[in-house]
Amino acid sequence: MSSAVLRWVCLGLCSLVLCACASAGTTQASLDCTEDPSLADFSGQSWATSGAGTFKLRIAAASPNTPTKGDNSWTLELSDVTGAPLSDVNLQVTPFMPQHGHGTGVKAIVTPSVEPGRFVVTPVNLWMPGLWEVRLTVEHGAAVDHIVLNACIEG
Amino acid sequence: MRRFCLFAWVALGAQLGCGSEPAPVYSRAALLDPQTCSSCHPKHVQEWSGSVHAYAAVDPVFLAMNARGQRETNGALGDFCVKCHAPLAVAEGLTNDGLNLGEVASSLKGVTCYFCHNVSAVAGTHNNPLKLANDTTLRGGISNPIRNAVHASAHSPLLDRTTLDSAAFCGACHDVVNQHGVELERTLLEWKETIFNSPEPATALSCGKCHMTGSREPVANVPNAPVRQHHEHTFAGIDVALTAWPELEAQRAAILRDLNPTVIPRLCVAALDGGVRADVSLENALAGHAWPSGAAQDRDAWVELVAYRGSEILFQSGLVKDGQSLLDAPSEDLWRLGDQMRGEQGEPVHMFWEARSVESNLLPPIVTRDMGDPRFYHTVTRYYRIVQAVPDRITLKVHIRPFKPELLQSLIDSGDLSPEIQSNVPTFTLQGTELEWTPAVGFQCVK
Repeated sequence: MSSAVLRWVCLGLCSLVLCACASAGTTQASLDCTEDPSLADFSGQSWATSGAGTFKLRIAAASPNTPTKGDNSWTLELSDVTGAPLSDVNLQVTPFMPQHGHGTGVKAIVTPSVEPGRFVVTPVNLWMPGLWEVRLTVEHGAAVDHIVLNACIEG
Repeated sequence: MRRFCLFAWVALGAQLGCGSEPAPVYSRAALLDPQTCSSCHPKHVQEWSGSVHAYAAVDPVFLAMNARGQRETNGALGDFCVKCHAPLAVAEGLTNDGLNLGEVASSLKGVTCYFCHNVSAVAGTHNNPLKLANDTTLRGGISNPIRNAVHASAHSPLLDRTTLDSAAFCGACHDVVNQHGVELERTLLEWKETIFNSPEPATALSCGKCHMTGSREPVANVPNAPVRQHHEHTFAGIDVALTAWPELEAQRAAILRDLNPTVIPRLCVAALDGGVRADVSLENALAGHAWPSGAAQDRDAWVELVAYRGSEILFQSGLVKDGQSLLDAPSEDLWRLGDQMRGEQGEPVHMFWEARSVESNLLPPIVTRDMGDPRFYHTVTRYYRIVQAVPDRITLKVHIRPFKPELLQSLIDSGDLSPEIQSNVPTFTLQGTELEWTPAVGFQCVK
C-alpha cells in the first residue's frame, strides 16, 4: 500500500471514530444564557435607566450574589436622574420568562430599607432554568416608569 | 508517515476507549451497594437517602397496594409494581412479585445509585423498560469523566440533564400503563406535548433541569476534584416518606420549594344578586407536565375557597381538616384536581388494577407559544356563586397531598395498611396560591 493511500485510510478511520464518539449525545436541552449581553449587573457598579429615562436603578446587593434557581433576595437602589435617592415610590417587581410566556406563583415582596432610596425585594423567585426578565414598575408621584433586569438561571 | 499513522492509531485507541477504563477496584457486587458510593460522593448519597427513590421499596403504601393487588389478581400482577420500586431486586432474581422484599438486602431495594448509573439503554416508554449493562462502568452526565481507580466512568446522554434524551430515561418508570392498557401515569407523555420538549434551546428543558437543581462544585470528595455541574439527588416531587426516614424535613422542604411557584392563581370578584360571583383561575405555569402529575389517580389536589362575613362562614368549598377526605366534608362546587379511575361498569375505583379508564381533571401545561393556537390559553377558571350576602373577606388556597385519604382508608380497611400511616400524610399548601379579596379591593381581580 502506498504511503498516500495509507495516510487516507488512517485519516478516514480516525474521522469515523471521532464522529461516532462526538455524536453520542443528541438533542441538547440547555440554554446557555450566561454570556447574554443584556444581563443585569450584579456587581453593584452600574446603574440602569428606566424606559422613559425618569429613574435610575442599581442592584446594590444580592443574595446569592449571582441569580440562582429558586428564591433570591435583592437590595435595589433607586434615584432620580440627578442621582438623588428616591424613597417615596411604589415599586412592583414581577419575574417573567419571555421565552416561555410565564411568571412564577411566588410573589416578590418589596420592603423599603432604612437607607434612603433602597428597597429589599424578596423572594425574587427564579425557579426555572433559562432567561428571566424581572420587570419593575416604579411609581413616583404622577410618574410611572419601567425597568427590566435580565437574569440567567443555569439550573 | 509512520509517525502520522502512529498518532492516528493512538487517537483511534483513545476514542475507542470512550467507555473503556482500567480494571476498577470495586467489584460489581460492591457497586450495587449505595454505601460504597458514599465514601466519594457523600452529598449525592445523603440527598438520595431522603428521596422517594431510596424509599420506594419500603413505602408502606406501595407494600400495601402490592400485597392487595397480588391477592385480588391471584398473582397476575406479577412484577408490575416491584420492577420500578425495587428494580435491582428483580434484576438479581431475588423477587418476582415484591411480596418477599422483607428478605431482600436493603442495598438492593429502591431505585439505587447502581440502577440508574448502570442503565445502558431505554427499550420502551413505560413500566421500566430500562436495560442494565451489568458491568462496573458507572454512567453519568459529565461528558469528560476523570479516570479513577475505583470504578470505570462513562458519559451517557440518558443521564445528562442537558440532553432531551434524559427525559426518556426518567419517563421509563414515571409513565405507567396497567394490564388493561390504561395510561395511569403519563408524566413523560404530558412533557412530550410541552414547549420544553423542543429542539429550540430557549425553551428546551429535560426532567432533570427542574427536578435536579444544579450547582457548581466538585462532584467527588477526592483530592483535586474539579468543579463540575453537580445536580441535586433529592428528586423532589410530591411523594414523601410516611415513616421514620432520613432527611425527612429536608425532603419536605425541597418539595415545598418546588411546589410553591408552580401554579399562578387569580381571584376575581363581581357583584351578583345581592352577593358576589368569585372567579378562580389557575395557570399551571412552571410544571413541564400536567398538574398534578404522576400517580394523579392517587393524589389529592384541590381548591379551598372560603367567604366570610365577620367570623361567620358564608360559603366554603374545599375546607377540610388534615387527613379528612374531601368526600366526608360537605363542600359546594368542589374543585378537585386529579384523575379518577373507572372500573368495568364505569364506577369509581381506587385500585389501579381495577381501572378500565381514567377521567382526568388536571391543569394543562404550556404546549405552545403560538397565540393563534387555541391551546395557548391554558389557564383554567371555575366560578363560585356566593349569593347570601357580600362577604367582607374571601380567601383562596390550593392544597395537595400525596394520597387521597379514602384510598388509604380502603387499604387500612382491607388490612393491608397500618392505620397510623393516614395521619403521616402531609398536606402541602402552595404558598403562591394564597390570595385574599376584601371589598376594599373593589369588584376586580387579586393576583
